[in-house]
Amino acid sequence: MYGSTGKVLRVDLTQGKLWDEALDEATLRKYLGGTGLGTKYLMELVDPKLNWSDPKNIFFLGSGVLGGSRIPGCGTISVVTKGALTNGAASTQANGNFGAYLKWCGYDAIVVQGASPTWKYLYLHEGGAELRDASKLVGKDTWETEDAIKEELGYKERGMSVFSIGPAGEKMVRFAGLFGDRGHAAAHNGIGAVLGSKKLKAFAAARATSKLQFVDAPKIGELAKKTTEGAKSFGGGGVFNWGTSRVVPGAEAAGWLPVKNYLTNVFPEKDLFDGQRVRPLFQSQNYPCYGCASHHYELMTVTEGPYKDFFGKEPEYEQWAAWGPQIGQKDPGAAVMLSNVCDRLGMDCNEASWVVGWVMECYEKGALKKKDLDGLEMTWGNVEATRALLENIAKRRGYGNTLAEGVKSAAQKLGGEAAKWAIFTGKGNSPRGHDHRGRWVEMLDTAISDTGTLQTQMLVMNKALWKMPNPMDIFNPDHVAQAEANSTGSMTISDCLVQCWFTSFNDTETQVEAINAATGWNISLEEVMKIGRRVVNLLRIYNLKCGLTPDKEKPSPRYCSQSVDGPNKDKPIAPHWEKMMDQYYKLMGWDRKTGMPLPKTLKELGIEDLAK
Amino acid sequence: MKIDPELCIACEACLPYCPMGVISMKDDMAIIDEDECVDCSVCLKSKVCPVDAFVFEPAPWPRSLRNTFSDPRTEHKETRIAGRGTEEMKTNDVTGRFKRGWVGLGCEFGRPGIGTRFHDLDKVSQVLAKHGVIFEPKNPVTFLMENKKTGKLKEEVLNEKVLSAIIECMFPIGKFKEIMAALKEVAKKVDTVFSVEVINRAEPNGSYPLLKLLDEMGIPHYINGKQNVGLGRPLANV
Repeated sequence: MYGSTGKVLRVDLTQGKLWDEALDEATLRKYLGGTGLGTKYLMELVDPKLNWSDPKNIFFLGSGVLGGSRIPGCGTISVVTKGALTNGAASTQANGNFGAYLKWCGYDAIVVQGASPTWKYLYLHEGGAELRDASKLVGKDTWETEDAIKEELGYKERGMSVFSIGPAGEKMVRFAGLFGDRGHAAAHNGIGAVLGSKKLKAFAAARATSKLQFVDAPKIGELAKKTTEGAKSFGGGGVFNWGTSRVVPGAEAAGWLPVKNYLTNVFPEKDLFDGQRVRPLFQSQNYPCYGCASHHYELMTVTEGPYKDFFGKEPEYEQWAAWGPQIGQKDPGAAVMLSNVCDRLGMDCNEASWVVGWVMECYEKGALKKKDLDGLEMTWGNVEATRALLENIAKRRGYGNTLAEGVKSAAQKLGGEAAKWAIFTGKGNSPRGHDHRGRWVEMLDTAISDTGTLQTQMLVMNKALWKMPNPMDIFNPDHVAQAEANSTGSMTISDCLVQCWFTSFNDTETQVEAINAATGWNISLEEVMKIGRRVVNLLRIYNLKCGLTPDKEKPSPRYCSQSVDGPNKDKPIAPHWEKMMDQYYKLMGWDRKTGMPLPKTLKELGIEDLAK
Repeated sequence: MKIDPELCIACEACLPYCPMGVISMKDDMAIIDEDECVDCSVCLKSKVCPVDAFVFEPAPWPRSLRNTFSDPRTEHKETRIAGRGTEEMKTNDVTGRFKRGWVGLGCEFGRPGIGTRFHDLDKVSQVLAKHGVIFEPKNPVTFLMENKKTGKLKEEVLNEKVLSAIIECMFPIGKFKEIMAALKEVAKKVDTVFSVEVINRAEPNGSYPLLKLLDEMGIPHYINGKQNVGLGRPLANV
């Protein structure tokens, strides 16, 4: 089959069994791979009533039809499982090399089921796959695990891609993730905890020789170039040349940089975190993902301040935001250190920073005292206390054990006023590293998302194609509901193809050309857009069966509170919330009371059977 | 250096990293002009290639010279010094190569962007030899001479290209003017850039005899800031 290996690797950890399953062309065409294919497996194999930690839960990790091709951004992987934070569907992606190596090793995806009696890791290579003993890896952080596996198997640097869970995943911290290729992360909705429950420490794929075939290889080359040019020019090339930290000053100016747990929107030190300043100042080193010329991500050595000489990955914008402004911390070097500590322990930086910020606010206001926190003085910006708290969480020590359940659970357990200070949604997930009071579309997206993280939020190249309000007022509730509903599927297509957003920028038309050059399907733009919407609706149906109700699709009081300062202080979202949701539901063709897609929506997407 | 055509994805990320500017795009693929490539490994070491397509296999003699001279990490086996393989004259405090009444002279050939081939060095070294200079024994270019009296480089190395290489020699100060004149003449036949550096020991009163000679010849000059002075106890009796 063109564009595909035609195979999925099935793994039963309970029995220690591996087998190949044929992946037919009709199925692939229906889902494109990645999140779509994972959703199919989730719906077929996992009873929605089961708990996420049940051995019968599956862990899907896959690439798509463009994976391993020359199109940049296609070394990415998508993970689908029943997630630990929402106990509903999870879909989360990581960049790096694994997606390409996976396909070169002969598989489009891996589906893991069962739970192993002893710790294992999965090794893929030119000749197939095997489960190996991971007892010596237990307790190792994600970088140490990567190094240890490469050493054991005799691979160097990018000759192998390893994604693993850290101590947090082993201890089933509810926001543990999967980390690999030096700090890339599929981090959302507690997928690392699922691997912990299965005693699967890591996935390791050797860089085998590609046997993939594409129908029109020269066209793929042409589109690869076009995609690179698009990435180079998007937003003036800021991300391409300087990474996502380039947006920190602009985020503060627009009031969507999270500062001290949403207590303020003012962060005078914003320029210190600007990628254009930090990259030349700190010693940076190229570390590209498979097939991508972007300088979105590098390795970094801190050159000044108390953490001088600390070496690790360069934080992404969300990590700068998490370990800088969100915890009231002003030293970029310390932010590099904390980012890497969090990655190595194997936890999602978003949820971890909402937890730490909430603890700091509780400490300032006296709701949590030093004795409650195992002796840690959680004052704003206290770097070493934060480091210690992260370790306590990852290892479930002391109060860390409570915090390891996530910020919603911890806040509700503490109760009183403090319960109102936490940032989360009613489903138990939390926003990415922004203050969404300045990004209404994304607050709506976070609340309604069926992946446990970002699902849609109007990040599209062709605004007319996706019927974006034009001109768009990002604080107009009607525009917000329209933008979110109309762009439904755009991001999902990238997650089915498993193409990095920072190369594709959801350029759907180019993606359709690429699918056809890879597979020869002659698929239409409309059909691909429908696949995106279909997968979103399938995830919704699954979550409703898991117990999702529309009343849970709400931001917490602090999350949707009114900004006290900054550019958005006169723009409260809460008064508009219900009306915005009404309109969003209407545009989506969903029942406002039950949350279920209406019969005509199901029919249009061809999924009537699956809704039962 | 080679690019594996099976791996290259034509992303062009490597193009700005080549100091010689010899990576280009052809037929939707990055290619290296191997004749112009000096094997400096900057492309490989930059780690900019997202598919690890650069392949470097140590070349046999005489192409091996390219990497030895152009990659600052590679040591010359003759002198056990990396890069261009010589201590250079600036460490005279330690080496004591140049005594009063003598002039040390170096010709630095090539720079990033242009490089040099050994036939350029050969032209100059032969001219210098005619004037009876003594070539510096601890310099890898001297090791490439088939005859230190004629300054002739070995035939097989002449077409090899490197990022930069230095001829070093010394002679009595009385020959200075004729040698400088000869260099000016031969420079017209050299296909790259080269700079000339000279050194001499200061007189007890602190004056430099060379300054006077350079002024007499109308040659503009400046004292090089790279002069290493005062780095510990002088080891050499100069």
